[in-house]
Amino acid sequence: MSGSIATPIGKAIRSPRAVRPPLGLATAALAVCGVLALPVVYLVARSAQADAAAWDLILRSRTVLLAARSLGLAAAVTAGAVAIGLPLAWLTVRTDLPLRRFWSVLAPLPLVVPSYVGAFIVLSALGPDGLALRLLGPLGVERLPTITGFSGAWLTLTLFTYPYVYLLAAAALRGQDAALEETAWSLGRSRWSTFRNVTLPLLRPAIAAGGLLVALYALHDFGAVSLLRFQTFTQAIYLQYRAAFDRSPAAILSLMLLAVALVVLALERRARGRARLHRLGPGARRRLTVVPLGRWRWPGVAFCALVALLAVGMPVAVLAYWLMRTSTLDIDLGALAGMAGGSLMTASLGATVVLILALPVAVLGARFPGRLTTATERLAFSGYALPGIVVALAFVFAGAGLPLVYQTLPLLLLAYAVLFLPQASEPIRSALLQVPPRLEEAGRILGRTRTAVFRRVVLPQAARGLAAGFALVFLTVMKELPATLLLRPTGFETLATGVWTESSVGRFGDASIPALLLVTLSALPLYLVARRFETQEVRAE
Amino acid sequence: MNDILKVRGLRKRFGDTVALDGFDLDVPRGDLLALLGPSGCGKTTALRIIAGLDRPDGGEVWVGDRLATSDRILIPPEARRIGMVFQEGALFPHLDVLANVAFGLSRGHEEPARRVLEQVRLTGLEHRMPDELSGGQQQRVAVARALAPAPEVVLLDEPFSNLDAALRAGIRADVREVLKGASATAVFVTHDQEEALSIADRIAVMNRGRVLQVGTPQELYEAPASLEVAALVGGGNVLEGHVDDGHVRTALGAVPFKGAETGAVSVLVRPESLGLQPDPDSEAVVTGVEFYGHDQMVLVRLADGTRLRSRPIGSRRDLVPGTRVRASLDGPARVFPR
Repeated sequence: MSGSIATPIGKAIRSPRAVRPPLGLATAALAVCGVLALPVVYLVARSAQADAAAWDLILRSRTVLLAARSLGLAAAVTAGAVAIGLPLAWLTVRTDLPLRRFWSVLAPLPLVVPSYVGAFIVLSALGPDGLALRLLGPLGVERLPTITGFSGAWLTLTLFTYPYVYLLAAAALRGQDAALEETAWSLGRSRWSTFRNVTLPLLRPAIAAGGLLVALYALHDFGAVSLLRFQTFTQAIYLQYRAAFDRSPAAILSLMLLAVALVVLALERRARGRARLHRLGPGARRRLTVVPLGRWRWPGVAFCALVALLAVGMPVAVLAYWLMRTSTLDIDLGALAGMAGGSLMTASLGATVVLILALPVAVLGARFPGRLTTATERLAFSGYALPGIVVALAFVFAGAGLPLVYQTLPLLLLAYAVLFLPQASEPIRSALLQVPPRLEEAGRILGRTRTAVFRRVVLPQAARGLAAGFALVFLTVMKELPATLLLRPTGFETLATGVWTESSVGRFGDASIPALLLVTLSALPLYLVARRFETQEVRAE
Repeated sequence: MNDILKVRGLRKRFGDTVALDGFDLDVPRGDLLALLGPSGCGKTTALRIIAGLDRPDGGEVWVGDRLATSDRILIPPEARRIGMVFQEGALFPHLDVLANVAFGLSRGHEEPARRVLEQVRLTGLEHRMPDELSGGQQQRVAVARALAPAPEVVLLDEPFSNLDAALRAGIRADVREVLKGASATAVFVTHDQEEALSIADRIAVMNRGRVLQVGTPQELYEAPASLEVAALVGGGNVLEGHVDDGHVRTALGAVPFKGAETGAVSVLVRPESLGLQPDPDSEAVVTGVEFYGHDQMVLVRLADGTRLRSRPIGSRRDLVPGTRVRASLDGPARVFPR
């Protein structure tokens, strides 16, 4: 061996440290998963008791047709939401569209409109005796295409769910590294080819995640399809439950709907590919280049304006119209205040309970990778597949045997926990992931216990993520209908049940005030949710 | 025994990679010890196990006369009385400087925090937030925070590697002064030999998961136990040699030798021990010069193709690329069995 010697470079060690989670945390996470599994276990048990007559009923009723209708609606709504949300995201994030900022503020707003409010708005705007006909009547238009049935359900659900796709796609677009597109250009690809082969594939996980939320929302929807008289699974379950003494057919139908939702979930997993759900990597990125629209800018503006007109303008116009038609004397302020109080209370209590239950699952997911963690995360995630009506029914069945808790607030809150825990655990987990583990270690070494460090170091820094999770669940509980409808204590009203009660019998005037209040009160949590996506933009720049 | 930290036979693997393979270390009270080794040699793993942040596959850690880590025992990090300064500083971003430093103290007892802040010369910045500090200030706060609870041992994991070169030397001296002033025992991990040589009382050289040699900087430089240690501390030229008749013969000629080795050997020649004289008749030629101001590194290729590094003192304008030179041994050479 001759010559000069240099420092040898060893192989760098980089491997995730598999640490066993503390017993208390693991127990808590498992307990939460147990609660999540409760309704399914109950429905399975209930279906197992079904006798031949019940099965006969299922087979005779048009189960296959219902499944096809539900899936068809979900697919059509998802396609519609992507067709609106994706171009809107691209136009507002990447181009020199006139009034970019204005459109991006309007775009997420329709999320405050629950499906049953949306249905009542669509009905009273475009229905047989609706506003549109009144406006167009003098122009000689005498009838519009019928709005009940599939077309109305599709329009309503698409208009008020596309923001899921918009928000996720816009965040992913903001997070994209400019260098990737520039590399493609430098390799001789045209702008269009770059968009198709680089930009779009990178957006796939975001589109899939947004599409999943939309598909499940459509599949699970109960309010809009009922008001617009488009018979789907959820409605059949409700009718079966209301009509029959034997509840096992409803339980069987519920399990079938759950199975369909799980298939959708699996499809999304495949579509997402191996990328993680809308998490943005760290690192400095350069500001993305702005795409000049040229002569396409006016069609772009027209598109944004049309979406805004239908999804924001129409609800505002309809609610304002009904508000003006209602005499102030007819408004029962006391009842209204009661509904608003009920909504705010269930939403804040529900969000608190969900947050507390989501915490152990999220901590486990963020800090202790391992087999147990994977299992709990999978289970929590499959909670997305649970339709509100199904969870509500499971609790009704279970609760009927437990008179002490049946139709009490705690049982309702538990149902919310089962329904919305997956929504909360994802933002919490990503907030926790953004707190460097070094900080925790530093705290431990300075003599603080794990719990103390979590309280004093981790929680304060994850506070914004927790707030986003809280806001998201708050917003969702405010809008939630079927579980609230079936499980609320007797005489207890929320804005959601108020809107439903009035609009299901066609009293749109009486429904408009609680609807307006509901939409207004939802605006603040929506702002917080949308902000979470905006702040990712700041971090990315 | 005056050793405040004793580590015996640590073993740790991550999948197929062996990170620690029989790691031993003794640190006497008040010592400032550098753990020097190339990246990936297991330094940080050793530090994290000593701190109680990771569990080894085998081996023991004693802090004072207390067994802190073994097959059965794992005292949690918060109960070890060990301080740690991380590479990233890891200051709590939501707490101000004083609250960061006082984090390890019981509530309402901020006096030690103020005292340590004075030692690191940050008085007046108590209520700044971490993101309002320069990189050097942040690292001083991290050191102050580790020292405030008066731990038995302070561990520093590459504490200066995130600072730019201009700052590093100054902060290094500051930190040494603070640690010495507090009579602290400290172990700091580094892959930078200059850093280790300049601030440590003693250096433990490690590679491939074990400690190769422990000694003062002078001992390690002058009497490396192996070529591997020599390569990690100082570096230099390695020549093939042959011992016979009281001399060791190399491509540079024969020099007297009184060691025990015989036959074929490797000879370590530090760059400053390799003399160069211009000689038009020589077949050795200068191939490059790295100029450092106070001296320079001259790269030489011998007739047989061997490449050597020489470090003549002062400015040597006569040595430019292309110059033919005669290379000779001008100082001590160390011989290792081959």
